[in-house]
Amino acid sequence: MRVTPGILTARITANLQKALNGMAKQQEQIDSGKRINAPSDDPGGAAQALTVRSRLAANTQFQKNVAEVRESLSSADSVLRGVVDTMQRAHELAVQGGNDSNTATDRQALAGEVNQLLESMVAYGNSRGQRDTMLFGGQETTTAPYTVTRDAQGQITAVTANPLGIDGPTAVEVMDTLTVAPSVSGTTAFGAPTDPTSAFAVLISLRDSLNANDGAAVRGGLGGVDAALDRASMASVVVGTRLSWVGALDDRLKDESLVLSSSLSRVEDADTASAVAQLTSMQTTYQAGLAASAHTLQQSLLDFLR
Amino acid sequence: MTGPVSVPTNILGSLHLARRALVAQQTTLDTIGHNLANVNTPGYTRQRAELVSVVNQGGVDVQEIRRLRDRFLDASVLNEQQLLGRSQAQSDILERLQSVVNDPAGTGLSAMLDNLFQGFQDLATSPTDVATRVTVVDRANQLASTLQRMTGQIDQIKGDLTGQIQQKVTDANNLLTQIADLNRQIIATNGGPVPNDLLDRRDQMVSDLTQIVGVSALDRPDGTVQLSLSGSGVLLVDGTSVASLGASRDPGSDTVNVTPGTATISVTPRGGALGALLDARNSPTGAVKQAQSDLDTLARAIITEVNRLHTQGAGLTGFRTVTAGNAVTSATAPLSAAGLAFPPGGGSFQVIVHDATGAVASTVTVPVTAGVTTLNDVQAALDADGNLAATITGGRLSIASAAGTTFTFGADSAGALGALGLNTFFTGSDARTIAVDPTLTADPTKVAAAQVDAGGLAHPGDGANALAMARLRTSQVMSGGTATFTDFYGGVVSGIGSAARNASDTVDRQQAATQLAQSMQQQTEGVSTDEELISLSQTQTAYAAAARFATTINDVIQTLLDMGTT
Repeated sequence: MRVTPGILTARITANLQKALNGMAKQQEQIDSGKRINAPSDDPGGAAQALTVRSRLAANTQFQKNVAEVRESLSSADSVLRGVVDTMQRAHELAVQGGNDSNTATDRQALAGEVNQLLESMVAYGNSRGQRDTMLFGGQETTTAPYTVTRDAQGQITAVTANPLGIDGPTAVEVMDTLTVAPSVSGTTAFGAPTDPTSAFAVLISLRDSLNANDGAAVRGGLGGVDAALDRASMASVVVGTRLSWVGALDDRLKDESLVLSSSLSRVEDADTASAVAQLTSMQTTYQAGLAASAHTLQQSLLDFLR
Repeated sequence: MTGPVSVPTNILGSLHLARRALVAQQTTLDTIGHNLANVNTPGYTRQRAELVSVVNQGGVDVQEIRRLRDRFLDASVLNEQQLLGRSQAQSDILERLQSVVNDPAGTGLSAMLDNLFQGFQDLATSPTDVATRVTVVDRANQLASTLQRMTGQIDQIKGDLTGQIQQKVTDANNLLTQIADLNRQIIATNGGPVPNDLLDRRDQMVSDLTQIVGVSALDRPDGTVQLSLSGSGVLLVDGTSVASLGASRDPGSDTVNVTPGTATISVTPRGGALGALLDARNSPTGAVKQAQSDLDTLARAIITEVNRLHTQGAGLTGFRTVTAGNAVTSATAPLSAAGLAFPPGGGSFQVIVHDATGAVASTVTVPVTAGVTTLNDVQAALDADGNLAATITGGRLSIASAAGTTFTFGADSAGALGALGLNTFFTGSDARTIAVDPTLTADPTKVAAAQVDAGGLAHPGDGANALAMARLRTSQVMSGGTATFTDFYGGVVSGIGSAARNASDTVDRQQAATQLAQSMQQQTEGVSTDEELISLSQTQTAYAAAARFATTINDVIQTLLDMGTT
């Protein structure tokens, strides 16, 4: 073929341009540390990165939710342990007070202690979680679930529950579509407000029976005390089990987060070593091209015509 | 003519022969000089002095100075160039479009969506926390403004495209006028020598024009060129007459139309940058408008889905009064035909009035029959309740509750609340208009994290509605129930990305093809300095030889004259 200087220059310019473009691309990857700097670098990968990043964000959120649930459950756990201890003490007092060797004065002393237990039981019922919300109010987290009626001596005569309900289910999502209740309802822990075996009702009747020096009634009330004790123990076990399950869940979420991070890195991070190696090889080509073209373009017949 | 070449019959004829030879070699030298001088001139075609021997008198003469060009190679270069112009323009547009959706740092639309859903999760966990509510509203605002900003960027691209089209039309018109003018100059030289350099300049202009707008060129016997739009065949240059292009914007269809001369119908040139620009600006399935409509689809789905849940939820505090965000065109027309952006279907919705203690004072169920129920009917049904007063002002429904009471909204099977803009989370209907309901910005306790329970009660610690909204993250509500919001947006991003990649690959390929065509053309038409230098030496020798011949003849004449004097 007939080659003119025009063809040579055009070809050299195009080839050098191509080499420079390739070098710029590698340089960009090395500088940003990313393989995908624009969707066109890898359209499928760019979309995948969005999805993975979204899942990673959800995972972070779930870990946060788990931490939140753990704190709330821990608070509930410690309160329920107190409730169980209180009911155990009430059981002991009921057994002791049921013995007819007790005098009326003895029983009044026991009644005084039972009254203390009742006061602390109401305080347990109205205890608050880490965000200053009611632990046992169900969905009614801003209103104390239990209100008390007192007589002239200041003794609690009745405990009534929030009329708007104390059993509304609460749920926190800890994994896609998987929710955990951050506490138990007041009914689960203390019994339904109208139930004669509710923790409050049994303590009130035990106190009143002791005050009345009615040994038979005290012995008869023991069943109710045990029912309330069983209920509280059960709630405590439920919360404890849930707490350890949530702990395991947290580990799983952290594992998943690692997997997602590494898959995100695989999708969008540059392989710096290979990028540098490619850049070096491109540089070599580029320099060779420059040297060769400088040589070719210098030569012409003029160098030899005298 | 066969037989021996005729020779001059007299000695003076020999002198003439020498003169012609000198002139011919001189012309050849000039042509070589012209070629060498134009070695780097774009569009220059090398020329050659064609020598012929002179019959009867003998010697040599320059028959013509010929341009060494090949019409077919020229045509293939033109063709590749118009494709190159088109693909380059396309690639530039997609590159810009790509920068709108490019999100290497994870701070774009998709991250904003994730942020909002995380906000809903936090709200579900702590519905009574006002700071969490403020955060949710704030994140929703960021999402809305991101969508608006992206729409604005696409508008900017469209505006720039319009400007580019007008610029290209102006450039093309300038070239058309100059080509017609060169045609006129070429006609003026008719009868004289071939105006090679005028032809070169004109061909270069045709080549420039082709990169802007695809044309087919036809050579006329008088040396002029006739240009017509490739594809439609509309004449642009015929001899010295020009049909200029005009560009005008049609706001109705949001398109820019190019019309040649006095024609009223618009044309879409196939090749050249103008073709690509017009395609990108006008085609509803072109990348730019497609991106716009995809964003609108996404925004509309976000508004619909979030509002569908939010309107049926209850905030931390109930409403005392509320005014609908969307107005109907007629209070007596059925809601489905009253100009609402999201027309409701059939069903019913509930309004529950609570007293100061939070207990239910009354519950109103408003039936909505598709195609029948009007805003007046809705107003009457609400107003019938003793605790509520409903009015219509300027097509908007307002509801107020009696002193000491508040109201919340309950289940809505008709989608009427979202349609009217009552208790909504987002206002607007597309990416351009999406915004957070101003009621929520003013009072974040109105963010509906809760759902009224079976007894009509709303509880502050209930985060069920917030959780439902958070779960929209994984709901497949896009593309006919096959994709989540993120999937859909990922599809948009990868769609634009692969289009941009294809376009830049096409540019690379087309550049190679154009280079090939150009180097084929150069092989025939380009100036080679080495070649010219060789011709130069050759001609120099021929010139010297002719000069020697003239000297010799002169000596011979001298001898002849001396003969007479001796």
